[in-house]
Amino acid sequence: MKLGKQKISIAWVVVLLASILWLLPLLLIFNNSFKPYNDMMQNFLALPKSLSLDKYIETWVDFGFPRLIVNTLSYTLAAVSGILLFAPMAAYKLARTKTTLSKICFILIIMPMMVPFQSYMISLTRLVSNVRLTGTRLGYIIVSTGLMVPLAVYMIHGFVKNIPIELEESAEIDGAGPVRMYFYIILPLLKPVLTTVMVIDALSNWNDIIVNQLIVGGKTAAMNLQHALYARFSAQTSDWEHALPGIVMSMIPCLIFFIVMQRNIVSGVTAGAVKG
Amino acid sequence: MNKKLLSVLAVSMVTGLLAGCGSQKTTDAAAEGEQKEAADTTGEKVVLTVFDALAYGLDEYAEMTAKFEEEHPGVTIEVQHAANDSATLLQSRVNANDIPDVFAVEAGTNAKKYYEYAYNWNNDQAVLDLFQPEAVDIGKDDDGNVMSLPWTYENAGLLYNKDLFAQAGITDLPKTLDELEQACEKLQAAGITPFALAAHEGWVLGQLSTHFMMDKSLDAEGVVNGLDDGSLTFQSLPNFKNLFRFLDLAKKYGPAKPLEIDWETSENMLANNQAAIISMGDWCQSVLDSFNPDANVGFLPCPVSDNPNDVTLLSTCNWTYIVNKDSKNLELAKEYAEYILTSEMGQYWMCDGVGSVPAVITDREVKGTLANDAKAYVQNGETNDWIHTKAPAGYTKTIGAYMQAYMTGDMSADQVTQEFQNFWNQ
Amino acid sequence: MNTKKTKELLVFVLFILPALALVLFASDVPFVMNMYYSVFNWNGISRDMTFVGLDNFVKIFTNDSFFWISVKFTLKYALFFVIIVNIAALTIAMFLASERRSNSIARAFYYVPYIISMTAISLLWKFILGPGFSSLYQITGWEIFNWSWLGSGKLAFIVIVVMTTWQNIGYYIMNYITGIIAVPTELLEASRIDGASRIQTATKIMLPLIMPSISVCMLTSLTFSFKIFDVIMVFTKGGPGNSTASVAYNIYSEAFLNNNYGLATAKSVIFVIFVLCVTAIQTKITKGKEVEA
Repeated sequence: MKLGKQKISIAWVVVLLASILWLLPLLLIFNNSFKPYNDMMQNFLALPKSLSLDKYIETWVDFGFPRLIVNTLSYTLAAVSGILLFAPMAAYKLARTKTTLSKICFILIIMPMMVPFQSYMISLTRLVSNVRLTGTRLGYIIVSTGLMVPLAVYMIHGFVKNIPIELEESAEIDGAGPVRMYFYIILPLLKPVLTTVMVIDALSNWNDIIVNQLIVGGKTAAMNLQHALYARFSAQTSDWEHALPGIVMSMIPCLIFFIVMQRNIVSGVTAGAVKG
Repeated sequence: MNKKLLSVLAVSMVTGLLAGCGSQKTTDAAAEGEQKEAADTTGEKVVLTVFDALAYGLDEYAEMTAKFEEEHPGVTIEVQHAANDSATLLQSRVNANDIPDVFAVEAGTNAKKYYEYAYNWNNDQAVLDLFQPEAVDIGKDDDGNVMSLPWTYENAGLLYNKDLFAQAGITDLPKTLDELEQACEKLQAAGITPFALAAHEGWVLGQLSTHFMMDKSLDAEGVVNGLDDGSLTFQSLPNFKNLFRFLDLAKKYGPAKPLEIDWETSENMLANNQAAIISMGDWCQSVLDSFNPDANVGFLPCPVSDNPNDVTLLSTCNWTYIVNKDSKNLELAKEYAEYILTSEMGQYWMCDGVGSVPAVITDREVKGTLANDAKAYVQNGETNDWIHTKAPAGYTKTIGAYMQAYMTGDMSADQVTQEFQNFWNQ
Repeated sequence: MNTKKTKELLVFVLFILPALALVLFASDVPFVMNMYYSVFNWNGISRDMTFVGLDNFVKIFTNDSFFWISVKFTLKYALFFVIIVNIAALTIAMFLASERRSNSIARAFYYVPYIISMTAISLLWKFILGPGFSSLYQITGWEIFNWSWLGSGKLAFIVIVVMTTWQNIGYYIMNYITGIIAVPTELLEASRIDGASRIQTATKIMLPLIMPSISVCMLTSLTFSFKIFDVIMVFTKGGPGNSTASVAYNIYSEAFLNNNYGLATAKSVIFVIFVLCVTAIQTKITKGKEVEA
């Protein structure tokens, strides 16, 4: 749906200009990633004295960025693929099945949305250790996927309602079994919400610190980006000189990813609307 | 679209999992192999897990572990430098039954929680003799068994900027609260901000409060015992009420928004000659150096009353290392602990990398200026032990909040004192 | 008949099992373990725990003022955050829903903070509120830049609301735009032709049709605000003086700083029951208003 001819209203211009405020912090971080620690503390807003890439290179080499990127990328890929594979299936069936069992399962899946992670962190580590997955990449992938499922299922569940049930009924009459129906009819129509879910989960996994710290612990080989960058911080030291360049470098793929995906979300919804 | 999407999804998931698990399989297999073998010298692959709660001297630490690995072929040291949230992470690891072979904890209440997992060093007198005797005492449990080994001396108290003091014409260090106030006035007259107390940090305030709890005749442990058994109360401690006078001074002679000064800003101001006095410890040496290598900083024993002899500088071996008594490589773990705390390389790490005075008996020169500054006081027996690590768990966090409330004016001195008492009574 | 029902059941189980298994493992089972620990006195480290029955629960209701302070804070925060972020996001979404270059770019900008990690954000805001505001005060002389934003409970609260809104609004804008785009243009144009004003079109036609988006956003913002932790942990640590401690932070400090895991888990149980009730009520309200296209 288009809002027709968008009148050039003042409010609209304000909204556009305001968005720049949201961008400023990014520029500030980028700006300060070139400054030595003391300069940053003394003159946060000033331009850096030099634009040397030394600290960037140092961070890249010292922290082992290539390995970190491979790690984080494989975690994100695995987790997001897992979500996209399993969450829509569950959301679809839960939305269409009106039995009590279905309602109970839905609540079980949604419930973690209400619970702060910190409150069951220790219990989780106990559980993970009981199944001998502590310190393993598989353990980390399973847990981080599991933590993202509730929101994903919830969002897709709401979206499924928009799919007219007549489509499924006529497909059934045409002889389509449940699996075929799901993959060929339902899934394509879910594209907009799936893109949204994919973006959210990819970003949240890419930026994850706490779960990685918890599950992977000391295994440097299995750390992800943010965890490794953050490991240098303590209550009384802050390694901003490496952390900031590291953060900038880790943000670049995210930004690119988001910009690319954003167009998909919109075009997907428009396409869906025309069809519907 | 669908078939394609599905196959893409499936492929990426499998790729992700394989990439993840593939390397995991090899490390898993290696781990299994190690666990089947016994400890060290057979040349089989062994992994020693170490948990470190600090982020200082990381380069020297890496050199140290590399040398150890060289001398012990087949052994890999896996260190988790969990500087941030170290208590939480250690707790989680212990819960997950992933207890490190060697780990660092803060001595006192914190360390005692882990003693049930700790190796008892009482029978290793040769090792214990390498350390200063009082340092060894710190790692003792209630029955006198040495359950953890001391690392380095950490000194906490007031730090002052020598150049700024000279600029203001202050020749003698203030020893009473009146003298402190006079010093502040001189500093202010010279256009210098006297205090930059990091009041944003509850833990800084909590540590500060212990200066005023100190009864020199009893020392830290005596005070703690007295408070525990009720023979002392916060209301009865002679210098405790002066804490509030001190806070008033810090507020009056400090920056406009005291509760917004965090530890970074506090140290930054001191190093850049923008403030004269902060409350911190010699652990911030490396940070101060990175801000301004030319800063001239020293310890100012904290005045707590009208009596110049009451000035306190807090010194103890705060961090201790525990060896997991159920470690699969107990002998190796013990050797490693000994190595980092007493050997040449260990001393290199502690004295040069971290810059602190180690607990091991040695003549080696220490690089940190603050540590050296404190050394004189330590050797003259003019320091006191730390109280806040012997206090009930959550001390600095809870108490810090009350002190902040006092500074904002939300609570009175009496109310805060009562809250101190209530907290301790729990 | 039976075989059809069985087949349906089988298909159902097949479809939901992976997701369900993942959630059970990562969250539900640990939470049940929480319920188990809540009747013990345990410091979270030792191998021993002492059974204390309902003592922890009793303590929460009789001797734990910090917990209730944090509950009050969390509820107050939830109220402000949910209202502010949803109204702001919906308004912005209405302006940015149509397909123009400028809109796409603006949308991307709004989303940027979501991408930045919390460590960087905390540094940013610390400097904006500290040295940043000081400079602005010197330039403009406006008192507002001179207040102690992080030093007083009330102002710190505002900071947290503003900061979390700023950081998360991108997500809600995206959701609302998805919902708005799905509304058929014909309906809106028809209502304009019939003489309805822009505002009437927006409220009486569009709003009911995007109820599903509103429902989703309401629930996510509600649950997000109830769980708020990262910001507090990195930013204020519950200060100044415990005025900005959220329930999640209170539970965390009880577990890890006070080493009282039994009490902490008891609090988490109470809190979850409470949140479930609130969200059940909220869902009933918004679902009741949904209209299918």
